[in-house]
Amino acid sequence: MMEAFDPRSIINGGMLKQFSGQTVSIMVRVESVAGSTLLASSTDNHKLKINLPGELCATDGAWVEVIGVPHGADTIRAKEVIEFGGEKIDFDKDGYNGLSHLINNVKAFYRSG
Amino acid sequence: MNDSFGDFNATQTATAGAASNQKGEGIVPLVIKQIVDAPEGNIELFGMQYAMACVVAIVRNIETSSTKITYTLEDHSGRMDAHYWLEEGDALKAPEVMLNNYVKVYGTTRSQGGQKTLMVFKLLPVLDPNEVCTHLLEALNARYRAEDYQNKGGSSGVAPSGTGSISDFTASQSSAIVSGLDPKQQAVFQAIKSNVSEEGISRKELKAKFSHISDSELTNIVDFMISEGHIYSSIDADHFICTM
Repeated sequence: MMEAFDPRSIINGGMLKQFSGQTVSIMVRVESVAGSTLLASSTDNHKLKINLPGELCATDGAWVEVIGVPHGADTIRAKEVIEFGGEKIDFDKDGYNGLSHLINNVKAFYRSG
Repeated sequence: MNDSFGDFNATQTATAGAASNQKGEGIVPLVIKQIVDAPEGNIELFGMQYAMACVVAIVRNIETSSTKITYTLEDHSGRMDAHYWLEEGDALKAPEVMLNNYVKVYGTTRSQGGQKTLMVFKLLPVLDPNEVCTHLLEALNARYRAEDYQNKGGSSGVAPSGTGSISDFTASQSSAIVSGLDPKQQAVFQAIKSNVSEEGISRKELKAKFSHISDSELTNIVDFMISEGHIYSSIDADHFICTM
């Protein structure tokens, strides 16, 4: 049974504090996994600690999407982690930083004329 | 590709006397909330109509029946169902997708009882997170460009010429954007396109419409569009019709 849908904001490391307590989506690079804790770095080079709901098989250095709720400036309680199939992805950090800033600051995106 | 429904002749333009809803062209990148919130009818953004939408989303559920596969798609903004219609013997040709992974979906939208569904034309797995990021940037771009185009009077300069009957010819408000043209060229192109007479619009009429553009610049614009294949000259070198 699917969980009910919960809209989320797309953010980067520097925005964690601003979205504390809200559901977010953030792309991070896996540094190391130990049990249910993932240590990762964000696109704007913040080191983050992510509490996982279950096991994660991601390779070190892989980019994954973390969906969850931030607490404070560097911790996220993850609801899920989305992995991508491609190998050795060169993820555009600048592009993602630009996106996370834009998408949270544009006016009236959902207007359609 | 799943083209067992609808008419995907996306290069067709409305003909004079056609039914009141004109066909849109092109594919617009959207997020799910934009589709879910949209009113019934064709895919439209600030008056610009499109043939199809493209979304990038996570597959949350897959349900197979004898006639179709229903995918539940979710992105950061919303969730919706997508139908992939099966033809006989198609079960083997169904797209290979994994649950809780990203896919890119092209399709048309349909309203049923107030709910929107995506009718899938093509569904592909997304292996590179850059594709997700790019899609969102493209969706942002499309939405703000469309508004910009509308504000700059996108359908200006389409006053009917001559005495041809244009009451049913809603394509005169067509805002199909031809890529590779700058705003001035785009405006001239629209003027040529919206002219419905057999011989096309004359150079004289174009000069009158675009009095702020010098003769030599207008000539350059027209020559460029001819070389690109967007327009051609008709009864003589001073009358133009568009190729689309």
